[in-house]
Amino acid sequence: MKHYDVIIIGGGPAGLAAAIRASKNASVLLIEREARLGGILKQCIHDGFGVVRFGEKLSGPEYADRFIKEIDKTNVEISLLSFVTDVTRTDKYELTYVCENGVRRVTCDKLILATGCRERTKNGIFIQGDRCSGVYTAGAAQNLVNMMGVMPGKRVVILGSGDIGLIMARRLTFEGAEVLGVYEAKPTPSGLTRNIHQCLRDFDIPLYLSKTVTRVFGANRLEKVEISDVDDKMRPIPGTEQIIECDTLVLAVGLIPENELANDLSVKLDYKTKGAIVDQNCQTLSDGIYACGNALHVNDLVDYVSESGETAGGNASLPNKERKLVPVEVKGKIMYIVPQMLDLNSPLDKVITYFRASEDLTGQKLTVKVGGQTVFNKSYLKLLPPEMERVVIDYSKADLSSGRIVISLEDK
Amino acid sequence: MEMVCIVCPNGCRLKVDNSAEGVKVAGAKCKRGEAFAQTELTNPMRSVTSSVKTTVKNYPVVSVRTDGEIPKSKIFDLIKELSEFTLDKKVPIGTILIKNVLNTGINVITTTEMI
Amino acid sequence: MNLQKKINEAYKKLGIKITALENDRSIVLNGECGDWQKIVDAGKLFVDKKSGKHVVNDIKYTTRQETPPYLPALKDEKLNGTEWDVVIIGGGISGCSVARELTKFDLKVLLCEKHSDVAHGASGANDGMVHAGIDIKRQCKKLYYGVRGNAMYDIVCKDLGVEFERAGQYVVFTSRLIKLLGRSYLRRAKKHNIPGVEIIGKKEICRIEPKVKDFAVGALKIITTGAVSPYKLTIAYAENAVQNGATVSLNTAVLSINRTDDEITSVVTNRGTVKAKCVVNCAGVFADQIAEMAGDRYFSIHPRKGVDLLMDSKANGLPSNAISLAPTFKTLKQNKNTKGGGIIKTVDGNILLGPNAREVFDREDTSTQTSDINEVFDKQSRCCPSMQKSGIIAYFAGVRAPSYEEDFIIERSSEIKNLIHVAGIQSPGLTAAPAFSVDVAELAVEYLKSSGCDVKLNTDFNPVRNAPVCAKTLTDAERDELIKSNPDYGKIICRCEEVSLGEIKNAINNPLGVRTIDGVKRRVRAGMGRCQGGFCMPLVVKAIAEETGVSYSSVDKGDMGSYVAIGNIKEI
Repeated sequence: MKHYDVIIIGGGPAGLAAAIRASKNASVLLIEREARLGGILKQCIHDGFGVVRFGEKLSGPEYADRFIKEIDKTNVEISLLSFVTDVTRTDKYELTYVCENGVRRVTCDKLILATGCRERTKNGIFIQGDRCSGVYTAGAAQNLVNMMGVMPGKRVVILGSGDIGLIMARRLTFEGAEVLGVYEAKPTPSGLTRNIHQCLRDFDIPLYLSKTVTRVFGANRLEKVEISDVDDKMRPIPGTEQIIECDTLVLAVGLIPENELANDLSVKLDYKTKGAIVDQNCQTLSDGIYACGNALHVNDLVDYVSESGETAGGNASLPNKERKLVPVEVKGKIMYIVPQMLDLNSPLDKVITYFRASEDLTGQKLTVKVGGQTVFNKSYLKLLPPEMERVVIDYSKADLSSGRIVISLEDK
Repeated sequence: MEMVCIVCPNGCRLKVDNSAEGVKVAGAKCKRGEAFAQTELTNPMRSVTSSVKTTVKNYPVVSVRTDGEIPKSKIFDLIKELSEFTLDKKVPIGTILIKNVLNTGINVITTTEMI
Repeated sequence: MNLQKKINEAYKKLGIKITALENDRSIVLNGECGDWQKIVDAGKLFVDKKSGKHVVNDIKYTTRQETPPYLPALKDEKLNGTEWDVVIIGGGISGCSVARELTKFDLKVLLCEKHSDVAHGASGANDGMVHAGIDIKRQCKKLYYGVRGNAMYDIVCKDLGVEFERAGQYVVFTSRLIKLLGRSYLRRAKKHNIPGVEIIGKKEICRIEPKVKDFAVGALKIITTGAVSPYKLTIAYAENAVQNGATVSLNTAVLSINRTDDEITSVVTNRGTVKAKCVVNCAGVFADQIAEMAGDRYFSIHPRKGVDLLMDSKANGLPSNAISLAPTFKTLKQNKNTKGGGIIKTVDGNILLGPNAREVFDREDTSTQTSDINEVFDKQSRCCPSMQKSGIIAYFAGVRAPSYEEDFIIERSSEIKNLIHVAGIQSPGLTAAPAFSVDVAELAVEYLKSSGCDVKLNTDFNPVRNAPVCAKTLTDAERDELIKSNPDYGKIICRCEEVSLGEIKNAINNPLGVRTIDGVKRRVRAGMGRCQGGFCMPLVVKAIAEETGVSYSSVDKGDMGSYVAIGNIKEI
């Protein structure tokens, strides 16, 4: 069995960044399921990628290509069309994967999970009705249009105002479909504000809030959908039903980190992010297992996906060290933070922390306290749940053994 | 009036005051926001991403974008131009497919490395 | 039966004015009503177990017209002028099992199915439980064939290469009194020759299924209860029939039937008129309409919808066995038409909840409603309170095809000599099929012989249909060898269910000629996992298109017209 210092599962933006960084100090194997590297970026042909990192508005494939060109210069071994079927922990990690050549077994000291995320489905949100064709997740619709070059339909309703839904509204409009509207069950949009503007407003596509699709009709192909108003708990209100004739329903109702392997390995997950609980090095509570990118938490910018990949790859390539983990607590209207733990035996001067507000907020102050002492604060004019925030916190001067670490969000 | 800057993912909320003395912009985190507001008022510009058909195996379509911004009003003319274009061989990423499209001075380039 | 008394009763109880006529075989009801449930209730009033006469319920539903039945948008002459010994109408478990049993004889057998795949109706949308028969109180065809069928499952599934698990079932008693009454099950089991039924104590059931420890006082343990994939078994029967010489014609709907006084001469389909020496009506919810086409409608089918919920195998709080609560006096009164469903463990290891039972006007309406989901979940979670609603990953509805007598009708018509009805097949129809299909085949053969045909055995009959390759269940060494023989087995297309391109290609090239996304899904589970096809659907479309040489836009999800793409971009 061939041994590697680091094995990375997933060749999307997180895995690519992790592999490139890890290869500076370690032997690396990158395992990718598909025939080409790049993950979901391959089909995200819209632009806006890399603004933070490269200061350019690249399309998804271009962003991926920068990393692919980079990885070609390293000694990372890449196994394409390879699917991990089993991971077992011994004194190291033993992986089994299948590829065109057969079943392969390899071992490693550190394992990085960069498995991305998946989309919520129609069943996951309880849409009732017929079992016709014409209902797609946004990702599937994007694949059909951008990879296979076919149109799903002509009259389109989009449920969910997540970014992919907005992007698909514009994309389908470009290709001649009539997008009848984007419906969002929440009272506020789920996607980035700029996407609301450049994908919907630019093309006069209406956005309806506090409404959801409750039923689909169609003998073979979708013929119409039923839309209902929802109450403040997002439950449909009987009597508000409205029928819209359409042949296509695109669901952009959220993403869930893909964590099957993490589950199999009993890696402890955060029920809020649905990804692993990690320290500032993206190492999970299971020693030697790292999680990064959208497998860790769903990001809205790929730039931060790559960043967490680099964090994971960088640390995984270093020799093992005993960890001393302490939790980071959260107070106030914060949906989640990453990392949820700090390793006191690792550098603490530049702890990259991501968080999301739990609701639309104005005039907020983020405060980080250690044992009651403020070590960091930042003011925000406006915070929206769809827009992830990133701060770099310096804990190095605080006495972390002295008290609880609390991150709070309060009215200014 | 209010406006959302679409230059970068920050999506700054701009307060734009368009009076005789000129355009005043508040709320932009950077200079690009001010410039955005200016052009948005006079001649809104957008970069466009789409795809073109190909006859290359495994690539029914290949992704493209404009290498700069074109007037928003010309988006659908561009889309039409793209639908009439067929790529018949593999080209490296960034290859110019249509030069000076619609006389905008902007080119259409491929954004996928065809391997 | 005193018809006038029943007519009065219907008026008093249901407020419907009915006329009733009795003939040799049936009691025919007429009248009008705007409430479908009441029409069904009226039909039930006239069931006469003693005379064995069937209820034909022609009470008109005045609220709305019946939705026209699904007909494939296809008209050709593919079958026109062909001649068959036996024509089977309907490709559910009944039709497919009968087809396979008939191929043991040297006969020309045609099975017509109007949908794009077999098992499209109730056979494809039920919980897959292979019943022991313990719920059936008295002797009837359901019991006779149910018990016999159950005993045949091991061999049938082994022959047909279908996974079958006899994991048993536990009916949990919630009070001492119920447990005491549970002894009647033991007597019944003995009387009806159902083996392996016993009562176990609180300690035992709580050890086997800790999820019920808060309320269980004991349980009825039924070891012969099993689980099978109902559509996989139906598909396997059909494929084995085809291997042995039968013809399965999909997208083929029976439009009318030509006959003389007492004999069917030919069957008209959208793909031409076929001559038939003998016809077997296995049309499920349409069995009475097919009977009518033959001028032989002496029973009625009243569609009854049931919804099942599929739980995520990784969800918390799931039980690990098939369990249900023993009926109490209260629940017995509430619903006589379902045993109340239960929690079932499928052969794939998933937990399934259901089904409920709702009388519905439309025979093909398999839509679900929020109320169904809530009803099933609320009811079944009583048996396992730790389950969470968020664990539901999929749900589906099937429409059962009961007669008013609530028993199978398996017989040769007394009026049309070459017509055999296999009607009123509902639970435990799946369990019973291996048994009744043998008898139905015999009925057909007997008739053909009596009409002067020389029916020989099919000496080439091979009962074995090889199970499709399932790479993920192989050992690493076996899988390695398989991939070396064909690299497609190493390319994983469906990541959730770990299905390779090789397996998907096998499914596409199935002997029935089903070339749809749903066809692939049912055969190899691609798209059945947690992403519900979000990732692999486009890849399956690609595989079907490449394998069959059609464009992506020609690929259907299921039936004709269920396209997933309308054409190439830039061209529309």
